[in-house]
Amino acid sequence: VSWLAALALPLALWAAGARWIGGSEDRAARAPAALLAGALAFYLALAVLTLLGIPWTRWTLLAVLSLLLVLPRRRSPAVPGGGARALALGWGDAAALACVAAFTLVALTLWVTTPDFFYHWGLKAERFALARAIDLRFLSRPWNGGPGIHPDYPNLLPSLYAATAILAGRFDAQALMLWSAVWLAALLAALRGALAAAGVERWTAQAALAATAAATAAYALGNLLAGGADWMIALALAVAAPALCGLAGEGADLQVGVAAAFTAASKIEGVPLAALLVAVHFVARAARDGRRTPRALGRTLLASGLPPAAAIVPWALETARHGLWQAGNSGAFDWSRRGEIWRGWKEVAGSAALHGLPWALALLPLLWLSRRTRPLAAVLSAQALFYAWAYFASPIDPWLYVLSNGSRLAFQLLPAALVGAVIATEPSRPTAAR
Amino acid sequence: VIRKLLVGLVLLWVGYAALRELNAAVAGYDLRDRRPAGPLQWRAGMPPVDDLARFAAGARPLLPAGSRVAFASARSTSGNAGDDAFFRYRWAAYFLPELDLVKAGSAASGEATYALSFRTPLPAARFQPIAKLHGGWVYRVRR
Repeated sequence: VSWLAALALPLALWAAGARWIGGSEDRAARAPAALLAGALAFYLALAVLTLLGIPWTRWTLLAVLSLLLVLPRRRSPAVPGGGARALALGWGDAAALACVAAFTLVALTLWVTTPDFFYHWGLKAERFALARAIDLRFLSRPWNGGPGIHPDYPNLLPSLYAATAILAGRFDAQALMLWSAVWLAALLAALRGALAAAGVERWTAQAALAATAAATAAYALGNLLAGGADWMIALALAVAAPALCGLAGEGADLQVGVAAAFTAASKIEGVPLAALLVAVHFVARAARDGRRTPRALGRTLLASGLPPAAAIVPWALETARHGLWQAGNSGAFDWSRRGEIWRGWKEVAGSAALHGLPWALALLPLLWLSRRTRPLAAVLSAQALFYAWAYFASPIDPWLYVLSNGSRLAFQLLPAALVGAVIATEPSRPTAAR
Repeated sequence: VIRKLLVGLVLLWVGYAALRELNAAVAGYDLRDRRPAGPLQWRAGMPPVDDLARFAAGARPLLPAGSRVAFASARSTSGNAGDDAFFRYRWAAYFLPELDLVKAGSAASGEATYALSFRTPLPAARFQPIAKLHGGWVYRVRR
Protein backbone atom coordinates (compact mmCIF):
# COMPACT_ATOMS: atom_id res chain seq x y z
CA VAL A 1 0.00 0.00 0.00
CA SER A 2 2.91 2.37 0.79
CA TRP A 3 4.38 1.91 -2.66
CA LEU A 4 0.99 2.31 -4.26
CA ALA A 5 0.46 5.60 -2.38
CA ALA A 6 3.96 6.80 -3.31
CA LEU A 7 3.18 6.18 -6.98
CA ALA A 8 -0.46 7.25 -7.00
CA LEU A 9 0.05 10.60 -5.25
CA PRO A 10 2.51 12.05 -7.81
CA LEU A 11 0.25 10.75 -10.58
CA ALA A 12 -2.77 12.46 -9.04
CA LEU A 13 -0.80 15.68 -8.58
CA TRP A 14 0.36 15.55 -12.18
CA ALA A 15 -3.22 14.99 -13.36
CA ALA A 16 -4.38 17.95 -11.27
CA GLY A 17 -1.59 20.21 -12.49
CA ALA A 18 -2.15 19.20 -16.10
CA ARG A 19 -5.51 20.94 -15.88
CA TRP A 20 -3.79 24.29 -15.48
CA ILE A 21 -0.54 23.78 -17.39
CA GLY A 22 -2.01 23.03 -20.77
CA GLY A 23 -2.03 23.98 -24.39
CA SER A 24 0.95 22.08 -25.73
CA GLU A 25 0.53 19.21 -28.16
CA ASP A 26 3.35 17.34 -26.44
CA ARG A 27 1.96 16.01 -23.17
CA ALA A 28 5.31 14.51 -22.15
CA ALA A 29 7.02 17.89 -22.31
CA ARG A 30 4.46 19.65 -20.18
CA ALA A 31 4.14 16.85 -17.60
CA PRO A 32 6.98 18.12 -15.34
CA ALA A 33 5.46 21.59 -15.08
CA ALA A 34 2.08 19.99 -14.40
CA LEU A 35 3.57 17.84 -11.62
CA LEU A 36 5.11 20.93 -10.01
CA ALA A 37 1.84 22.84 -10.23
CA GLY A 38 -0.12 19.95 -8.72
CA ALA A 39 2.40 19.42 -5.91
CA LEU A 40 2.38 23.09 -5.11
CA ALA A 41 -1.41 23.38 -5.04
CA PHE A 42 -1.60 20.30 -2.80
CA TYR A 43 1.02 21.72 -0.44
CA LEU A 44 -0.78 25.04 -0.19
CA ALA A 45 -4.01 23.18 0.57
CA LEU A 46 -2.20 21.22 3.33
CA ALA A 47 -0.91 24.50 4.78
CA VAL A 48 -4.47 25.88 4.78
CA LEU A 49 -5.73 22.74 6.56
CA THR A 50 -3.01 23.25 9.18
CA LEU A 51 -4.00 26.88 9.59
CA LEU A 52 -7.67 25.96 10.00
CA GLY A 53 -6.87 23.15 12.43
CA ILE A 54 -8.33 20.47 10.14
CA PRO A 55 -6.26 17.28 10.61
CA TRP A 56 -4.67 15.56 7.64
CA THR A 57 -6.53 12.26 7.58
CA ARG A 58 -6.76 9.89 4.65
CA TRP A 59 -10.23 11.26 3.93
CA THR A 60 -9.29 14.95 4.11
CA LEU A 61 -6.32 14.31 1.84
CA LEU A 62 -8.48 12.42 -0.64
CA ALA A 63 -11.01 15.26 -0.50
CA VAL A 64 -8.27 17.80 -1.27
CA LEU A 65 -7.00 15.70 -4.18
CA SER A 66 -10.55 15.28 -5.52
CA LEU A 67 -11.08 19.01 -5.29
CA LEU A 68 -7.87 19.70 -7.19
CA LEU A 69 -8.91 17.21 -9.84
CA VAL A 70 -12.30 18.81 -10.44
CA LEU A 71 -11.24 22.45 -10.40
CA PRO A 72 -12.01 24.15 -13.71
CA ARG A 73 -9.47 23.48 -16.43
CA ARG A 74 -7.40 26.50 -17.44
CA ARG A 75 -7.11 27.18 -21.12
CA SER A 76 -3.52 28.25 -21.68
CA PRO A 77 -1.18 28.74 -24.58
CA ALA A 78 1.57 26.40 -25.65
CA VAL A 79 4.42 25.32 -23.41
CA PRO A 80 7.79 23.89 -24.54
CA GLY A 81 7.98 20.88 -26.71
CA GLY A 82 4.67 21.69 -28.30
CA GLY A 83 3.70 21.72 -31.92
CA ALA A 84 6.18 20.61 -34.51
CA ARG A 85 9.07 20.79 -32.05
CA ALA A 86 8.73 17.35 -30.57
CA LEU A 87 11.59 14.89 -30.30
CA ALA A 88 10.95 11.37 -31.52
CA LEU A 89 11.81 8.58 -29.08
CA GLY A 90 15.35 7.30 -29.49
CA TRP A 91 18.33 5.62 -27.90
CA GLY A 92 18.91 8.55 -25.55
CA ASP A 93 15.45 8.00 -24.08
CA ALA A 94 16.25 4.33 -23.53
CA ALA A 95 19.50 5.27 -21.80
CA ALA A 96 17.71 7.84 -19.64
CA LEU A 97 15.07 5.29 -18.70
CA ALA A 98 17.80 2.82 -17.75
CA CYS A 99 19.43 5.47 -15.53
CA VAL A 100 16.12 6.19 -13.79
CA ALA A 101 15.49 2.47 -13.28
CA ALA A 102 18.99 1.83 -11.92
CA PHE A 103 18.81 4.78 -9.54
CA THR A 104 15.33 3.76 -8.36
CA LEU A 105 16.33 0.16 -7.63
CA VAL A 106 19.32 1.26 -5.55
CA ALA A 107 17.37 4.08 -3.86
CA LEU A 108 14.72 1.63 -2.69
CA THR A 109 17.35 -0.12 -0.55
CA LEU A 110 17.95 3.18 1.34
CA TRP A 111 21.68 2.68 0.69
CA VAL A 112 22.01 5.94 -1.25
CA THR A 113 19.60 7.88 0.95
CA THR A 114 20.96 11.22 2.09
CA PRO A 115 21.69 11.35 5.83
CA ASP A 116 19.56 14.49 5.84
CA PHE A 117 16.53 12.29 5.23
CA PHE A 118 17.06 10.74 8.65
CA TYR A 119 18.24 13.93 10.36
CA HIS A 120 15.49 16.23 9.17
CA TRP A 121 13.40 15.61 6.01
CA GLY A 122 12.18 12.20 7.13
CA LEU A 123 11.97 13.11 10.81
CA LYS A 124 9.84 16.17 10.01
CA ALA A 125 7.64 14.01 7.79
CA GLU A 126 7.16 11.49 10.62
CA ARG A 127 6.21 14.28 12.99
CA PHE A 128 3.84 15.86 10.46
CA ALA A 129 2.21 12.49 9.85
CA LEU A 130 1.77 11.94 13.60
CA ALA A 131 0.52 15.51 14.18
CA ARG A 132 -1.59 15.33 11.01
CA ALA A 133 -0.44 18.86 10.25
CA ILE A 134 2.71 20.92 9.71
CA ASP A 135 3.93 20.43 13.26
CA LEU A 136 5.03 23.96 14.11
CA ARG A 137 5.12 23.11 17.81
CA PHE A 138 7.78 20.50 17.11
CA LEU A 139 9.70 22.78 14.75
CA SER A 140 9.83 25.55 17.33
CA ARG A 141 11.19 23.33 20.13
CA PRO A 142 14.45 24.87 21.35
CA TRP A 143 16.45 21.65 20.87
CA ASN A 144 15.57 21.63 17.17
CA GLY A 145 17.40 24.89 16.51
CA GLY A 146 20.99 25.35 15.40
CA PRO A 147 22.29 22.83 12.88
CA GLY A 148 19.60 20.37 13.97
CA ILE A 149 16.57 19.94 11.79
CA HIS A 150 16.55 23.29 9.95
CA PRO A 151 13.17 24.34 11.38
CA ASP A 152 13.12 27.40 9.12
CA TYR A 153 13.17 25.39 5.88
CA PRO A 154 10.05 25.39 3.70
CA ASN A 155 7.99 22.27 4.20
CA LEU A 156 6.90 21.02 0.78
CA LEU A 157 8.96 17.82 0.82
CA PRO A 158 8.13 16.66 4.38
CA SER A 159 4.48 17.49 3.72
CA LEU A 160 4.47 15.30 0.60
CA TYR A 161 6.17 12.51 2.55
CA ALA A 162 3.71 12.85 5.42
CA ALA A 163 0.73 12.84 3.06
CA THR A 164 2.07 9.70 1.38
CA ALA A 165 2.45 8.04 4.78
CA ILE A 166 -1.07 9.03 5.85
CA LEU A 167 -2.59 7.79 2.60
CA ALA A 168 -0.65 4.54 2.95
CA GLY A 169 -1.48 4.12 6.62
CA ARG A 170 2.19 3.79 7.62
CA PHE A 171 5.52 5.57 7.32
CA ASP A 172 7.63 3.55 4.90
CA ALA A 173 10.98 5.19 4.13
CA GLN A 174 11.68 2.86 1.22
CA ALA A 175 8.44 3.77 -0.50
CA LEU A 176 9.19 7.46 0.00
CA MET A 177 12.36 7.05 -2.07
CA LEU A 178 10.05 6.71 -5.06
CA TRP A 179 9.57 10.48 -4.80
CA SER A 180 13.24 10.92 -5.70
CA ALA A 181 12.74 8.65 -8.71
CA VAL A 182 9.76 10.79 -9.71
CA TRP A 183 11.84 13.98 -9.42
CA LEU A 184 14.61 12.42 -11.53
CA ALA A 185 12.19 11.26 -14.23
CA ALA A 186 10.47 14.66 -14.28
CA LEU A 187 13.83 16.43 -14.45
CA LEU A 188 14.88 14.44 -17.49
CA ALA A 189 11.47 14.89 -19.14
CA ALA A 190 11.73 18.66 -18.63
CA LEU A 191 15.23 18.82 -20.10
CA ARG A 192 14.14 16.61 -22.98
CA GLY A 193 11.37 19.12 -23.64
CA ALA A 194 13.92 21.95 -23.59
CA LEU A 195 16.17 20.17 -26.09
CA ALA A 196 13.20 19.53 -28.34
CA ALA A 197 11.88 23.07 -28.09
CA ALA A 198 15.34 24.44 -28.89
CA GLY A 199 15.37 22.38 -32.06
CA VAL A 200 18.58 20.60 -31.14
CA GLU A 201 19.57 18.16 -33.87
CA ARG A 202 18.31 14.64 -33.14
CA TRP A 203 21.55 12.73 -32.47
CA THR A 204 22.94 15.50 -30.28
CA ALA A 205 19.64 15.83 -28.39
CA GLN A 206 19.55 12.10 -27.67
CA ALA A 207 23.20 12.09 -26.63
CA ALA A 208 22.69 15.14 -24.41
CA LEU A 209 19.67 13.53 -22.77
CA ALA A 210 21.57 10.31 -22.15
CA ALA A 211 24.59 12.21 -20.83
CA THR A 212 22.49 14.34 -18.49
CA ALA A 213 20.68 11.24 -17.21
CA ALA A 214 23.96 9.40 -16.62
CA ALA A 215 25.58 12.42 -14.97
CA THR A 216 22.58 12.98 -12.70
CA ALA A 217 22.29 9.31 -11.75
CA ALA A 218 26.04 9.00 -11.12
CA TYR A 219 25.98 12.14 -8.97
CA ALA A 220 22.94 10.97 -7.02
CA LEU A 221 24.38 7.51 -6.39
CA GLY A 222 27.85 8.75 -5.48
CA ASN A 223 26.71 11.66 -3.36
CA LEU A 224 23.72 9.96 -1.67
CA LEU A 225 20.93 12.20 -2.86
CA ALA A 226 17.88 9.95 -2.55
CA GLY A 227 15.25 11.28 -0.19
CA GLY A 228 16.58 14.85 -0.22
CA ALA A 229 15.24 18.09 -1.67
CA ASP A 230 18.14 19.09 -3.93
CA TRP A 231 16.35 17.31 -6.76
CA MET A 232 13.53 19.76 -6.48
CA ILE A 233 15.72 22.80 -7.08
CA ALA A 234 17.33 21.09 -10.08
CA LEU A 235 13.87 20.13 -11.36
CA ALA A 236 12.51 23.66 -11.00
CA LEU A 237 15.46 25.02 -12.99
CA ALA A 238 14.86 22.40 -15.69
CA VAL A 239 11.18 23.34 -15.90
CA ALA A 240 11.98 27.05 -16.09
CA ALA A 241 14.84 26.61 -18.62
CA PRO A 242 12.73 26.63 -21.83
CA ALA A 243 10.83 29.72 -20.70
CA LEU A 244 14.05 31.51 -19.79
CA CYS A 245 15.48 30.63 -23.20
CA GLY A 246 12.43 32.06 -24.94
CA LEU A 247 11.25 28.66 -26.15
CA ALA A 248 7.97 28.39 -24.28
CA GLY A 249 5.60 30.79 -26.01
CA GLU A 250 2.83 32.44 -24.05
CA GLY A 251 2.82 29.66 -21.44
CA ALA A 252 6.24 30.83 -20.28
CA ASP A 253 5.02 33.17 -17.55
CA LEU A 254 3.06 30.55 -15.67
CA GLN A 255 5.80 28.00 -16.23
CA VAL A 256 8.35 30.28 -14.57
CA GLY A 257 5.87 31.12 -11.83
CA VAL A 258 5.24 27.48 -11.02
CA ALA A 259 8.96 26.66 -11.11
CA ALA A 260 9.75 29.63 -8.86
CA ALA A 261 7.04 28.70 -6.38
CA PHE A 262 8.14 25.07 -6.33
CA THR A 263 11.76 25.95 -5.66
CA ALA A 264 10.78 28.44 -2.95
CA ALA A 265 8.68 25.79 -1.22
CA SER A 266 11.43 23.16 -1.42
CA LYS A 267 14.51 24.59 0.29
CA ILE A 268 15.58 27.85 1.83
CA GLU A 269 18.04 28.58 -0.98
CA GLY A 270 15.09 28.18 -3.33
CA VAL A 271 13.65 31.46 -2.08
CA PRO A 272 16.33 33.72 -3.63
CA LEU A 273 16.29 31.46 -6.68
CA ALA A 274 12.56 32.10 -7.04
CA ALA A 275 13.16 35.86 -6.99
CA LEU A 276 15.93 35.45 -9.56
CA LEU A 277 13.74 33.37 -11.86
CA VAL A 278 10.93 35.90 -11.83
CA ALA A 279 13.21 38.93 -12.23
CA VAL A 280 15.36 37.48 -15.03
CA HIS A 281 12.32 36.14 -16.87
CA PHE A 282 10.64 39.54 -16.69
CA VAL A 283 13.69 41.38 -18.01
CA ALA A 284 14.32 38.78 -20.72
CA ARG A 285 10.70 38.85 -21.78
CA ALA A 286 10.68 42.64 -21.99
CA ALA A 287 13.97 42.68 -23.90
CA ARG A 288 12.94 39.88 -26.26
CA ASP A 289 9.71 41.52 -27.30
CA GLY A 290 10.08 45.28 -27.19
CA ARG A 291 6.53 45.74 -28.48
CA ARG A 292 4.91 44.28 -25.36
CA THR A 293 2.64 46.81 -23.73
CA PRO A 294 3.00 47.71 -20.05
CA ARG A 295 -0.27 45.85 -19.52
CA ALA A 296 1.19 42.68 -21.07
CA LEU A 297 4.31 43.04 -18.97
CA GLY A 298 2.12 43.45 -15.91
CA ARG A 299 0.40 40.18 -16.81
CA THR A 300 3.83 38.55 -17.11
CA LEU A 301 4.78 39.79 -13.67
CA LEU A 302 1.50 38.61 -12.16
CA ALA A 303 1.59 35.15 -13.73
CA SER A 304 5.20 34.54 -12.81
CA GLY A 305 5.22 36.38 -9.49
CA LEU A 306 1.97 35.35 -7.84
CA PRO A 307 2.69 31.61 -7.46
CA PRO A 308 6.03 32.15 -5.64
CA ALA A 309 4.40 34.85 -3.50
CA ALA A 310 1.71 32.34 -2.53
CA ALA A 311 4.42 29.88 -1.51
CA ILE A 312 6.75 32.32 0.23
CA VAL A 313 4.46 34.68 2.16
CA PRO A 314 2.68 32.07 4.38
CA TRP A 315 5.97 30.28 5.05
CA ALA A 316 7.75 33.54 5.96
CA LEU A 317 4.91 34.59 8.26
CA GLU A 318 4.82 31.24 10.08
CA THR A 319 8.62 31.20 10.34
CA ALA A 320 8.59 34.64 11.92
CA ARG A 321 5.55 33.94 14.14
CA HIS A 322 7.10 30.82 15.63
CA GLY A 323 10.63 32.20 15.83
CA LEU A 324 12.03 29.52 13.53
CA TRP A 325 14.56 31.67 11.70
CA GLN A 326 18.11 30.45 12.39
CA ALA A 327 20.90 32.89 13.16
CA GLY A 328 23.44 30.70 11.34
CA ASN A 329 21.91 31.49 7.96
CA SER A 330 23.82 34.72 7.52
CA GLY A 331 26.63 36.81 8.93
CA ALA A 332 29.14 39.43 7.87
CA PHE A 333 30.90 39.05 4.51
CA ASP A 334 34.50 38.05 5.10
CA TRP A 335 36.83 37.95 2.07
CA SER A 336 39.59 36.32 4.09
CA ARG A 337 37.59 33.07 4.04
CA ARG A 338 38.35 32.58 0.32
CA GLY A 339 41.31 30.24 0.88
CA GLU A 340 39.32 27.85 3.04
CA ILE A 341 36.34 28.00 0.67
CA TRP A 342 38.55 27.18 -2.32
CA ARG A 343 40.22 24.34 -0.39
CA GLY A 344 36.78 22.93 0.46
CA TRP A 345 35.54 23.27 -3.12
CA LYS A 346 38.60 21.50 -4.52
CA GLU A 347 37.99 18.62 -2.12
CA VAL A 348 34.32 18.44 -3.07
CA ALA A 349 34.87 18.67 -6.83
CA GLY A 350 37.81 16.28 -6.68
CA SER A 351 35.91 13.65 -4.72
CA ALA A 352 36.32 10.23 -6.35
CA ALA A 353 32.60 9.51 -6.06
CA LEU A 354 31.72 12.58 -8.14
CA HIS A 355 34.13 11.90 -11.03
CA GLY A 356 34.82 15.59 -11.54
CA LEU A 357 31.17 16.32 -12.35
CA PRO A 358 30.98 19.53 -10.25
CA TRP A 359 33.61 21.01 -12.59
CA ALA A 360 30.99 20.84 -15.35
CA LEU A 361 29.69 24.09 -13.89
CA ALA A 362 32.67 25.63 -15.67
CA LEU A 363 30.43 25.38 -18.76
CA LEU A 364 28.38 28.31 -17.48
CA PRO A 365 30.33 30.97 -19.46
CA LEU A 366 29.36 29.06 -22.60
CA LEU A 367 25.72 29.82 -21.85
CA TRP A 368 26.48 33.54 -21.80
CA LEU A 369 27.74 33.40 -25.40
CA SER A 370 24.35 32.58 -26.88
CA ARG A 371 21.63 35.23 -26.79
CA ARG A 372 19.07 32.46 -26.35
CA THR A 373 20.57 30.90 -23.21
CA ARG A 374 21.78 34.16 -21.64
CA PRO A 375 18.81 34.47 -19.23
CA LEU A 376 19.38 30.87 -18.08
CA ALA A 377 23.07 31.69 -17.67
CA ALA A 378 22.13 34.74 -15.60
CA VAL A 379 19.96 32.69 -13.24
CA LEU A 380 22.50 29.86 -12.84
CA SER A 381 25.44 32.25 -12.39
CA ALA A 382 23.61 34.47 -9.93
CA GLN A 383 22.51 31.45 -7.89
CA ALA A 384 26.10 30.13 -7.90
CA LEU A 385 27.28 33.56 -6.73
CA PHE A 386 24.63 33.51 -4.01
CA TYR A 387 26.00 30.17 -2.77
CA ALA A 388 29.51 31.62 -2.81
CA TRP A 389 28.29 34.65 -0.88
CA ALA A 390 26.69 32.33 1.72
CA TYR A 391 30.08 30.68 2.26
CA PHE A 392 31.75 34.06 2.65
CA ALA A 393 29.08 35.38 5.00
CA SER A 394 28.19 32.37 7.16
CA PRO A 395 29.46 32.15 10.73
CA ILE A 396 30.10 28.40 10.15
CA ASP A 397 33.65 27.19 9.46
CA PRO A 398 33.96 27.80 5.68
CA TRP A 399 35.92 24.66 4.81
CA LEU A 400 33.50 22.46 6.74
CA TYR A 401 30.51 24.34 5.34
CA VAL A 402 31.62 23.74 1.73
CA LEU A 403 32.36 20.09 2.48
CA SER A 404 28.95 19.61 4.09
CA ASN A 405 26.83 20.96 1.24
CA GLY A 406 28.98 22.14 -1.69
CA SER A 407 28.41 19.02 -3.74
CA ARG A 408 24.63 19.16 -3.26
CA LEU A 409 24.45 22.82 -4.20
CA ALA A 410 26.50 22.16 -7.33
CA PHE A 411 24.13 19.31 -8.18
CA GLN A 412 21.17 21.68 -8.17
CA LEU A 413 22.68 23.68 -11.04
CA LEU A 414 24.32 20.88 -12.99
CA PRO A 415 21.52 19.37 -15.17
CA ALA A 416 20.29 22.75 -16.43
CA ALA A 417 23.90 23.85 -17.07
CA LEU A 418 24.64 20.72 -19.12
CA VAL A 419 21.55 21.03 -21.29
CA GLY A 420 21.96 24.81 -21.48
CA ALA A 421 25.45 24.32 -22.92
CA VAL A 422 24.06 22.06 -25.65
CA ILE A 423 21.31 24.56 -26.51
CA ALA A 424 23.81 27.44 -26.48
CA THR A 425 26.01 25.73 -29.06
CA GLU A 426 23.15 24.66 -31.33
CA PRO A 427 23.58 26.37 -34.72
CA SER A 428 20.53 28.35 -35.87
CA ARG A 429 18.47 26.56 -38.47
CA PRO A 430 14.89 26.70 -39.70
CA THR A 431 12.38 24.63 -37.72
CA ALA A 432 11.77 21.23 -39.24
CA ALA A 433 10.19 18.01 -38.16
CA ARG A 434 12.88 15.68 -36.90
CA VAL B 1 31.22 17.24 -36.11
CA ILE B 2 33.44 18.63 -33.36
CA ARG B 3 30.38 19.38 -31.23
CA LYS B 4 29.07 15.84 -31.72
CA LEU B 5 32.47 14.48 -30.81
CA LEU B 6 32.56 16.56 -27.63
CA VAL B 7 29.05 15.53 -26.62
CA GLY B 8 30.00 11.92 -27.33
CA LEU B 9 33.11 12.22 -25.16
CA VAL B 10 31.07 13.71 -22.33
CA LEU B 11 28.62 10.85 -22.73
CA LEU B 12 31.45 8.34 -22.41
CA TRP B 13 32.77 10.13 -19.32
CA VAL B 14 29.43 10.29 -17.50
CA GLY B 15 28.40 6.82 -18.70
CA TYR B 16 31.53 5.43 -17.11
CA ALA B 17 30.84 7.45 -13.95
CA ALA B 18 27.26 6.13 -13.76
CA LEU B 19 28.33 2.50 -14.19
CA ARG B 20 31.12 2.93 -11.68
CA GLU B 21 28.80 4.46 -9.08
CA LEU B 22 26.12 1.86 -9.70
CA ASN B 23 28.69 -0.86 -9.14
CA ALA B 24 29.99 0.89 -6.01
CA ALA B 25 26.47 1.27 -4.63
CA VAL B 26 25.49 -2.35 -5.24
CA ALA B 27 28.79 -3.66 -3.88
CA GLY B 28 28.56 -1.32 -0.88
CA TYR B 29 25.04 -2.50 -0.15
CA ASP B 30 26.09 -6.14 -0.36
CA LEU B 31 28.93 -5.49 2.10
CA ARG B 32 26.98 -3.08 4.31
CA ASP B 33 27.37 -5.17 7.46
CA ARG B 34 31.14 -5.49 7.01
CA ARG B 35 31.97 -1.94 6.06
CA PRO B 36 33.62 0.15 8.77
CA ALA B 37 32.48 3.76 8.72
CA GLY B 38 32.66 6.77 10.99
CA PRO B 39 29.41 8.33 12.22
CA LEU B 40 29.39 10.90 9.41
CA GLN B 41 29.25 8.02 6.92
CA TRP B 42 26.60 5.95 8.69
CA ARG B 43 23.87 4.73 6.38
CA ALA B 44 20.70 2.69 6.83
CA GLY B 45 21.62 -0.98 7.01
CA MET B 46 25.01 -0.52 8.68
CA PRO B 47 25.52 -2.30 12.01
CA PRO B 48 25.73 0.87 14.17
CA VAL B 49 22.43 2.07 12.71
CA ASP B 50 20.71 -1.33 12.80
CA ASP B 51 21.72 -1.86 16.43
CA LEU B 52 20.25 1.49 17.33
CA ALA B 53 17.06 0.74 15.37
CA ARG B 54 16.61 -2.53 17.30
CA PHE B 55 17.18 -0.76 20.60
CA ALA B 56 14.66 1.95 19.67
CA ALA B 57 12.09 -0.63 18.61
CA GLY B 58 12.46 -2.35 21.99
CA ALA B 59 12.12 0.91 23.91
CA ARG B 60 9.11 2.25 22.01
CA PRO B 61 6.37 0.28 23.82
CA LEU B 62 7.79 1.31 27.21
CA LEU B 63 7.61 5.06 26.65
CA PRO B 64 4.39 7.12 26.44
CA ALA B 65 4.02 8.96 23.15
CA GLY B 66 4.72 12.65 23.48
CA SER B 67 6.95 12.30 26.52
CA ARG B 68 10.29 14.05 26.73
CA VAL B 69 13.10 11.53 26.73
CA ALA B 70 16.82 12.19 27.18
CA PHE B 71 19.06 10.08 24.97
CA ALA B 72 22.56 9.18 26.18
CA SER B 73 25.42 7.26 24.63
CA ALA B 74 29.16 7.31 25.16
CA ARG B 75 31.22 9.46 22.80
CA SER B 76 34.15 7.60 21.32
CA THR B 77 34.87 9.53 18.10
CA SER B 78 35.17 13.23 17.31
CA GLY B 79 36.82 15.67 14.91
CA ASN B 80 36.65 14.84 11.22
CA ALA B 81 35.15 11.42 11.97
CA GLY B 82 32.18 13.07 13.68
CA ASP B 83 30.84 12.86 17.22
CA ASP B 84 29.25 9.40 17.39
CA ALA B 85 27.13 10.26 20.46
CA PHE B 86 25.59 13.18 18.57
CA PHE B 87 24.84 11.13 15.47
CA ARG B 88 23.36 8.27 17.52
CA TYR B 89 21.03 10.83 19.04
CA ARG B 90 20.03 12.07 15.58
CA TRP B 91 19.32 8.58 14.29
CA ALA B 92 17.44 7.70 17.47
CA ALA B 93 15.20 10.78 17.00
CA TYR B 94 14.29 9.45 13.55
CA PHE B 95 13.57 5.97 14.93
CA LEU B 96 11.40 7.36 17.75
CA PRO B 97 9.41 10.22 16.20
CA GLU B 98 6.54 9.92 18.66
CA LEU B 99 8.83 11.06 21.48
CA ASP B 100 10.37 14.45 22.16
CA LEU B 101 13.89 13.04 22.15
CA VAL B 102 16.54 15.40 23.49
CA LYS B 103 20.25 14.94 23.89
CA ALA B 104 21.34 13.97 27.41
CA GLY B 105 23.22 16.81 29.03
CA SER B 106 21.45 19.49 26.98
CA ALA B 107 19.39 22.20 28.65
CA ALA B 108 16.20 20.55 27.40
CA SER B 109 17.10 17.23 29.05
CA GLY B 110 16.59 18.80 32.50
CA GLU B 111 12.83 18.43 32.00
CA ALA B 112 12.97 14.89 30.63
CA THR B 113 10.80 12.34 32.43
CA TYR B 114 12.48 9.32 30.85
CA ALA B 115 15.96 8.49 29.64
CA LEU B 116 17.34 6.07 27.07
CA SER B 117 20.90 4.99 27.37
CA PHE B 118 22.63 3.14 24.57
CA ARG B 119 25.36 0.75 25.74
CA THR B 120 26.24 2.78 28.78
CA PRO B 121 24.39 2.60 32.12
CA LEU B 122 23.30 5.79 33.87
CA PRO B 123 23.78 6.44 37.61
CA ALA B 124 21.06 4.81 39.73
CA ALA B 125 20.88 7.82 42.02
CA ARG B 126 19.13 9.89 39.32
CA PHE B 127 17.75 7.27 36.98
CA GLN B 128 15.45 4.40 37.92
CA PRO B 129 15.82 1.50 35.47
CA ILE B 130 12.59 0.39 33.81
CA ALA B 131 14.02 -2.20 31.46
CA LYS B 132 17.28 -3.56 30.16
CA LEU B 133 17.07 -4.11 26.43
CA HIS B 134 19.39 -5.51 23.83
CA GLY B 135 21.73 -2.55 23.40
CA GLY B 136 20.87 -0.41 26.39
CA TRP B 137 18.57 0.68 29.17
CA VAL B 138 15.29 2.54 29.62
CA TYR B 139 15.00 4.72 32.73
CA ARG B 140 12.53 6.89 34.55
CA VAL B 141 14.17 10.09 35.73
CA ARG B 142 14.01 10.41 39.53
CA ARG B 143 12.66 13.74 40.80
